[in-house]
Amino acid sequence: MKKREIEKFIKEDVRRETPDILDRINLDEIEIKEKSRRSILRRLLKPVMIPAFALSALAILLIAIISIGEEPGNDILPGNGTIAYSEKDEAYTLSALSAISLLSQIESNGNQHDALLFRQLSFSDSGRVLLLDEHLDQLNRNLNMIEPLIGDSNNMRFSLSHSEMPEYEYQMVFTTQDMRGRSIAYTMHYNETEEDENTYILEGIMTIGTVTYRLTGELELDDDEFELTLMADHPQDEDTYVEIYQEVTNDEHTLEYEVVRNGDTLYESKLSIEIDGDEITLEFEYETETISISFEIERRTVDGRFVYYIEYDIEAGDEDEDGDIVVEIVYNASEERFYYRYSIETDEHQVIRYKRRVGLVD
Amino acid sequence: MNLSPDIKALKRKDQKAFEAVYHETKHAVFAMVLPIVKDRSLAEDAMQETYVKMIANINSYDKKRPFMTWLLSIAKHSALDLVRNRRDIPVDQNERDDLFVSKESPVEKQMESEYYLSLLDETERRIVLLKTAGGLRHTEIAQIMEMPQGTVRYKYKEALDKMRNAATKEGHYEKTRD
Repeated sequence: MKKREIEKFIKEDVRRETPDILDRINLDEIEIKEKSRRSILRRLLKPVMIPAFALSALAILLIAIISIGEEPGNDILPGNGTIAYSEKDEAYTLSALSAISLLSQIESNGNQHDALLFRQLSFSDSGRVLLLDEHLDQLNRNLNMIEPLIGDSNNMRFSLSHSEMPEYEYQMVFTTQDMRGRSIAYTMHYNETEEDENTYILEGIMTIGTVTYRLTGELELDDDEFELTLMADHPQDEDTYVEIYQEVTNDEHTLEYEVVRNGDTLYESKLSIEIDGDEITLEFEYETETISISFEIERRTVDGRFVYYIEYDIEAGDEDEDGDIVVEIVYNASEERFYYRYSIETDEHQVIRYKRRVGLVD
Repeated sequence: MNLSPDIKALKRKDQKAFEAVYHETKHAVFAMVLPIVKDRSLAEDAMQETYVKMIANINSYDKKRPFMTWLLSIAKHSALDLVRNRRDIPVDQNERDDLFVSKESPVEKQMESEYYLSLLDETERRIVLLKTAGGLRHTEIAQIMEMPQGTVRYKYKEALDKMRNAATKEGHYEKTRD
């Protein structure tokens, strides 16, 4: 008997037995209380929380980037030739990068997008086939998606100015460093239309290498919460695209994405993200008719380096498997490339290591 | 499901919004109160009390907190208050386990899962119910249970192992599901 089956029948039992008490509640008879003093106090204290939100917004995409020690808003002061920007402009840029990261992962070898490709898995020390093997792609995809965004926060900069392209009003340049310390700049040109007080429509492009991606999105703002839907595709291929949906409420983030190739959904996933200091926790799971799998991922900083600690659980037919994975980022000097190194400890206590390439652009 | 618009609409007692919130959360609320009150009828009372308090205090809801965590906190306290206010029910949650103590075959029980849940201690049972029936994540359960996330994860895994081992040894699951 599998754990997933136990979970399933407890869930089904309890849900079946849940009483329906809807009719016992008459809204007209309930007196809604005024906001308590405590809440008012919390609101008064709100300015103190602004740095956390600014970073949460920045972290929208799992961004482990916490600007400790920096005054909030320093980066958003308009400089020479630049104009002021807000968290939503950051959100557009970071979401676009994530969407493009996902899209680039499904591009085939040898085509014009080769520079963006994530290389195939290369394994080492693999003495045994795990259920996890065929699902490392999904895990790796999500780690790769966030990788461009988890560099050194001290080296991340946003700069908004008027676009050099006549068809677009704004130009956001996001500069960061890769793990080799090289500076990388991503530029997004876009127009933003205000639908109403809280809703903004985005249309833009981002060029990486020689490839231009088209971006369309909608952002709904509500105080310090927002929902953003953003789609990235190639103008010449509307049937292949990535759509990302994010909901951000203070320290609670959920991110859903769907990757579609030639009109067919290739894969979709939903992640929840929590940020506590410089630690990030991600959770995602997915199910098909034959398998169910869940990952809980915690990213910590160890000796100044990011390390992912992952618990996974897979059930496939009559088999099940759970275990722990530690993912470290290692540099191969001879290849001059960075890899993820997966150290996997299964429920049978076997340790296996894999290597995978990381990075949006090599 | 994004409940934010419905939560906002609760402030003006919007019935449809309430129904949306209710249907989205009722299983989790039931999973929260049941192990505390250990009685279906009382669980219904606790659920009613939870939703009434939720509406009454909706202006105090801090939207920076996850709504479910806030609601389940109300549910927990509603259930505990109910138990305290009933003289015939001991406050100590460990003293009575009406709903889960049976070690009989689940065939004889109203809920099959009762047998397996009865193998767990109080904390494990609550964690398992919140995770499976409530659909909560370990981090949310950790907040509600006021314990470290790692402890929740560990206890959940231990609980599932206990139930799986019992099922494997005794073959209960196969007998009852066929």
